Amino acid sequence: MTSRPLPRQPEPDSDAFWAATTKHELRYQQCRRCGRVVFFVRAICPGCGSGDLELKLSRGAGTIYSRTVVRRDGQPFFRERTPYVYALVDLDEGFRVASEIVTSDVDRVAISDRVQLTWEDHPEVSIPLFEPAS
Amino acid sequence: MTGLRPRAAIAGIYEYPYRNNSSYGPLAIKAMSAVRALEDAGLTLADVDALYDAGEAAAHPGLEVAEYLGLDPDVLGTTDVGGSSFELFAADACRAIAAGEARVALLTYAETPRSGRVAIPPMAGTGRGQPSSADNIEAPFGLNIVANYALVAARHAYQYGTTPEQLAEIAVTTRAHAQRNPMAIAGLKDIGLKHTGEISVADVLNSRMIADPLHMLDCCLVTDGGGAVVIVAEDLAASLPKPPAWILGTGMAVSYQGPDRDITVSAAAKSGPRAFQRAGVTPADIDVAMLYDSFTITVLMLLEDLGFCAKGEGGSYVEGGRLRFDQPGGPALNTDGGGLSSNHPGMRGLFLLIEAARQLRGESTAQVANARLAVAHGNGVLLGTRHVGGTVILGRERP
Repeated sequence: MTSRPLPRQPEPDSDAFWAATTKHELRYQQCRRCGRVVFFVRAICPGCGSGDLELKLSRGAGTIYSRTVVRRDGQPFFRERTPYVYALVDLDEGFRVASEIVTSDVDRVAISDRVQLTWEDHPEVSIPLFEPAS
Repeated sequence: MTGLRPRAAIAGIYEYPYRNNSSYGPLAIKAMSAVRALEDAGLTLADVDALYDAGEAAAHPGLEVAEYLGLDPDVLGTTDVGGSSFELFAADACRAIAAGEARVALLTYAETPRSGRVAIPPMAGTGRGQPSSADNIEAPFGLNIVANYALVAARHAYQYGTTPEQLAEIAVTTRAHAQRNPMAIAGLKDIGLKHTGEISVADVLNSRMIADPLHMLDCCLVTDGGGAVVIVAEDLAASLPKPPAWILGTGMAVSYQGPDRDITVSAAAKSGPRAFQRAGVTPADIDVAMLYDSFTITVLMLLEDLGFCAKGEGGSYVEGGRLRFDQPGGPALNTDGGGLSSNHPGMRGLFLLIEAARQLRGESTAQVANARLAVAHGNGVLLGTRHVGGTVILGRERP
């Protein structure tokens, strides 16, 4: 048995992000000073340098910015998972995340498709995945 | 440093020939290559006063290499930004020479992933050392290197209609160039390729799909390799055994993720214009383009970003063999065979400088007639997520 690589904690920038995943909440940041949307979560706004960042809740709806079907992988967990869809998803709140699109038909997933958040639960964290929007 | 006209030149080069040979480890290959490249420049180890090292062969970048070779450098430069490290080193060496702090700069490189049977290591600290917020959100979805570049290729196809056939043209051209390079062909045999001859677009499309739209033959090789480059000050360049390859201009830029980032544009879109402006030349003047070919899509993007064609037109630009060494209408691409068909140990940037210098000397196995200007562009780390671009413009005539 192999398992998905999981975030390494403690990691001060992202511990609150990962704690929220156990409640199936996908969080992102928005700067209270300049309004910039920030992802991955971090201590400083890369737009204005402010440390005043609000950890906001995403609705989990987005659009595929790019995608590939991975058919070969050297890492045992992902090798067993091939073929799978690896994608960049633009969330409606204005941030982009790399993730996996869970589907039974990998060849039908296309750029610009709408997708919706789904979760894969592990003991300490849940991993945000996406599936085609219904 | 804008406006600085560094007067420095590549004076010595050496490429370690073997692609699958466990007789020597990386540190030994770096050291042997250093001696040969210095001989090529008519110099010795005692002449080296600046050492540049990406740290791929020992624990402390620069230190163990200096000790192994018995060097006493005044200047030590130890950037590790993957495959573009050596283009940044060339720029650093120019600055050190222009500042009067160095006269003979030595760059060495070696890795042996093939004979050592080690995978290309995980990218950029992922899974190693201190965890980071970025690593934590990326690692759960795999860190498949081909997939990272495939995301770029897929988006490029979506925005501009770039086809797999057009990407394949790049692999076809570099394999044709490899045919003329005995080191490349011996290497292809040594790593076990059954077919080492020319390939067609159909061969690329019929090779196994790794991550759509990238096939096996869209991907670089994994080989052993190493080499060294010696960069010297103007006064030394005047009395070399071989013609100097003058460094006319350099530029670098970083690129990373963000919500508004267009992943079909690489750091070369910034580093390229900086280097061309400093060199006082334009892409149309370039005879030889040594562009980091980790994957076919990397080359296509770099051609656009460096200004050889407009953004989005890379696909049609590479058609019809335009980039072959003996074809007019565009620069000769990766005339040694490139990472796609000669060697790719992991950080190929040094070989871009070596082959560019060979061309300006008239020593390439796919020699461009009367080659006067070359560009070497390294793209280090990962095209799709975060990378560093380093551009170096080289010329046969003294600036």
